[in-house]
Amino acid sequence: MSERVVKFNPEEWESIFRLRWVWDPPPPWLKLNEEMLHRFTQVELDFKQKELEIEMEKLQALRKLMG
Amino acid sequence: MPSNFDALLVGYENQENLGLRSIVAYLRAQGYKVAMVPFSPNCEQKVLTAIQERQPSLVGFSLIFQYGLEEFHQLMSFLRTNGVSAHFTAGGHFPSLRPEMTLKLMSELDTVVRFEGEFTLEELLDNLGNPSKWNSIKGLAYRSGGKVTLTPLRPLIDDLDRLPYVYRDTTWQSSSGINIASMLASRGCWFNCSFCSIRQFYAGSSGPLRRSRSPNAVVDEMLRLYNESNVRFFSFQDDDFAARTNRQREWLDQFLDCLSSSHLIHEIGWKISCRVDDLEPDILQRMIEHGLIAVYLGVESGSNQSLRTLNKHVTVEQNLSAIQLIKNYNIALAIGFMLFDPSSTVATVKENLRFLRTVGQDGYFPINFCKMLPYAGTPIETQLSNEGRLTGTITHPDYDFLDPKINWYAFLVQRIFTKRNFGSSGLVARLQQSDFELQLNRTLLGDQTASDRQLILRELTQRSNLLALETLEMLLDNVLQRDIDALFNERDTLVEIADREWRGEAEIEMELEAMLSPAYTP
Repeated sequence: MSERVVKFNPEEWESIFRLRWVWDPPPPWLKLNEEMLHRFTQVELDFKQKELEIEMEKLQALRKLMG
Repeated sequence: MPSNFDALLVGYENQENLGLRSIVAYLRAQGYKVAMVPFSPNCEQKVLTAIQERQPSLVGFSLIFQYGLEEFHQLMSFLRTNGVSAHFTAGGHFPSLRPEMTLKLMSELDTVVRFEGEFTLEELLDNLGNPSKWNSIKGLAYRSGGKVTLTPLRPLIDDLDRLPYVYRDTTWQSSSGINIASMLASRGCWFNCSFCSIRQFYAGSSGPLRRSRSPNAVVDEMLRLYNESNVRFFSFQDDDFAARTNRQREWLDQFLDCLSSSHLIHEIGWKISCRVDDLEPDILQRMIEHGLIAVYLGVESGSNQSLRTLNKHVTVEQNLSAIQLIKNYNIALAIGFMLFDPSSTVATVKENLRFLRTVGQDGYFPINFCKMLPYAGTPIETQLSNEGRLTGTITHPDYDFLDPKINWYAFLVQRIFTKRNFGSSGLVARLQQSDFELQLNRTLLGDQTASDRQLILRELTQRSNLLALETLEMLLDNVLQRDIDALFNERDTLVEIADREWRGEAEIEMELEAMLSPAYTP
């Protein structure tokens, strides 16, 4: 059993691997249109701000705990 | 002065890479000079240095996880760019099931070792400089004259006791000062769950779908690790630590008898992963009497429709019974659970949430949940491909749900809960780790305070579970009742839901840290 090798194309490699599970932009399976993408981006910015706030509060609480 | 090694093997080492370590041990037993280097992100320089020091003729890459393809490719490119001319080969699930694709995508590779690698790699090393003989090596894929040649598959190793004990380091993972080793008593699984590639990994070759080592050999290896390295906890990584058939129960009886004879049972603890239909009260009780202190259950769903899609051959009632059984014995429990699968509907999601509430509201174990992903070679990948629903990429395959509302819901659930459920320092990992440590302290170290701490841990876990369930339900209500555009436009609702969840998690984490600190008094 054998198969012809398709010559490896760096651009093809790039297109295969660039669609990673990342949040900026959102994952490809959502198929967001531009308008919705923009709307989600705003929510994501708010999410990130909240995450940062909570992390800072956690750090302060940890410092207090450690004396 | 460089020392010329025959092979250097590179692979993920979370919980010890027993597949790779078995190959190292086998090749060393045959007289080859073999070393291994753990793979981690940004490990390029470390691997290059190891190669320069050892000058191996062959470098082998253990590509277990599909999502690691890109990182491994970057590593191979880096090594070639820096003058490494050794033979490159790869093994593991993805290369074994997709050898042509692997060789196409990774031009740096010379060969792929398919499925069980011990004997194939040995023959490859014997014939490394003689490619004209590669066509006689079973289980190999290689480039030849512009084509990829796949040689016939090698039969599965008929007797696993022929293999030496896996190679071990001199340093150990430890918890509460107790050394931990991963173990393997069997290879393969008889079942054919649609999301799993274990059956496909073994089914192509001739031989039984599941093979066990002899109970004697397993206990002898445990005894040796205990005597020589003071290992006191053994984490069995078997695909399914099965106890369903008469033959499997005979095996288990012999294993427990051997443990008794070895006098290990009051000195050690062990953990298994199994199906819910492996557990029955008498079997579980006997295993616990012989040191079992933790079980990972492949529950997967609280919906009978989803269990059929996943081809689990169990029912929701069986899942509930197995979880209750474990709770009755007060040992550590973790479950695998897929809130979303390709057949998910609003109804199945609601069933799953009800199931999670039923099993999680007492705080016995931290609930977690994920979306089933269609990995290479699995039956569900084929099905989704045939239905035209396969999306994503080779490294991150995905699919759309049939109901667009569920697409949005899954997206938001993943965004809000990824860190909690899957982060190495996320709340679920911290709660599981704490429960595990307290189990070890209670059972192996005789810590009198461990039981008190476990009660507090259960309260924290209960709060975490109820918080997550409330968040999941609020989110679902909003996605179902409102227009998605409006939900995104307004923003405040989503931010409030996420903020409530994340703040609640942070509070629980702080209380957990306080409870685990040395200054804590019950």
